[in-house]
Amino acid sequence: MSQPVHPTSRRLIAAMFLLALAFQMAAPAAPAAPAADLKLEAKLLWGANGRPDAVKYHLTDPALAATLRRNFKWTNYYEITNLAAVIPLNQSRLVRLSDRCTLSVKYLGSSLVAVDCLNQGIQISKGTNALPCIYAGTNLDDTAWFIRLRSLDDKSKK
Amino acid sequence: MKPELELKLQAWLDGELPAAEAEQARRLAAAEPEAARLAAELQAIKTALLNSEEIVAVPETREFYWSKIERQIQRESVDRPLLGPSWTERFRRWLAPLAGAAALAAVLLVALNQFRPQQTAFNQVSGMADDYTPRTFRDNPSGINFVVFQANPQPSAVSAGAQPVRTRNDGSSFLIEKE
Repeated sequence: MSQPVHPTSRRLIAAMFLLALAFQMAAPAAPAAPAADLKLEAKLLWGANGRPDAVKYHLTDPALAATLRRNFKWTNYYEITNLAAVIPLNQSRLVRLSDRCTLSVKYLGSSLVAVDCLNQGIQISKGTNALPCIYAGTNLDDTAWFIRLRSLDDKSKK
Repeated sequence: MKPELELKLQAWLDGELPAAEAEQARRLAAAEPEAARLAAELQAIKTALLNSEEIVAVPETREFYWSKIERQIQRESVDRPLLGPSWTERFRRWLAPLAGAAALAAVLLVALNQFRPQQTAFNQVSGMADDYTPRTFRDNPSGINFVVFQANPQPSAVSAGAQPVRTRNDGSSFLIEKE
């Protein structure tokens, strides 16, 4: 036969449960990781409406293409360059995506990067972005270029 | 019968009334049948209680008996140290409000976190070449921040009908290439 629980013990158990719940809720979802190097992936993409078999580049992954298709008018998105770079905290690295396109990327921590777009050494833009981000622009022949930056530590296919 | 009269009858039977009022109560009990019945009932109860109470005789004298009680009280008040509640009792006493406060703080913390602007939405362009205007937006389903370079119209070039001689469309161009 089970012993009846004393009311004081019941209150104590309830209080312990509340305390545990409070600590659980107050704790961050994941332990804060020390600031590590950024493993950056940089992709240069090309958006066009022409037939894919007439283009020498491969189509990019479907998830990324779907995201671009949702926001831009082009049907096909080709991968021109795919580079990776390791950038320590508060340091910059040059990422050369093509003859005309180089990025200077500085890792600011917490998935933030300061990005300078350089066109043949001339600064075109300067900005600060949270990863993942995509830079985009149009060409005169009704096609477009895209630069997708993301952290390789980010496992999602953004 | 009025409650005041009932109480008066009871007080009369208990011998608590002055002589004049006791006489009034006696007359009332003699004159009123209802008062007489109540008085008889009360008297019967009083008698029954007196007869049923057990009388305990104390072997000592009254003074000696009381002195024993007094000494016992004094001894206990000296022997008992002035201790507060034990640490477990104090712990239990404080734990419940502490847990409640912690839970409330946690709920507030979570609520504040909900309203804090998300850092991942940070997306700004602080400098741009004159020929272009940046447009930034966020694609919420994918969580990707976009920066779009929009070419500014160049009235002089348009009016002159200037067109680029050649544009490269193999994806290697970074910006519009004019030759």
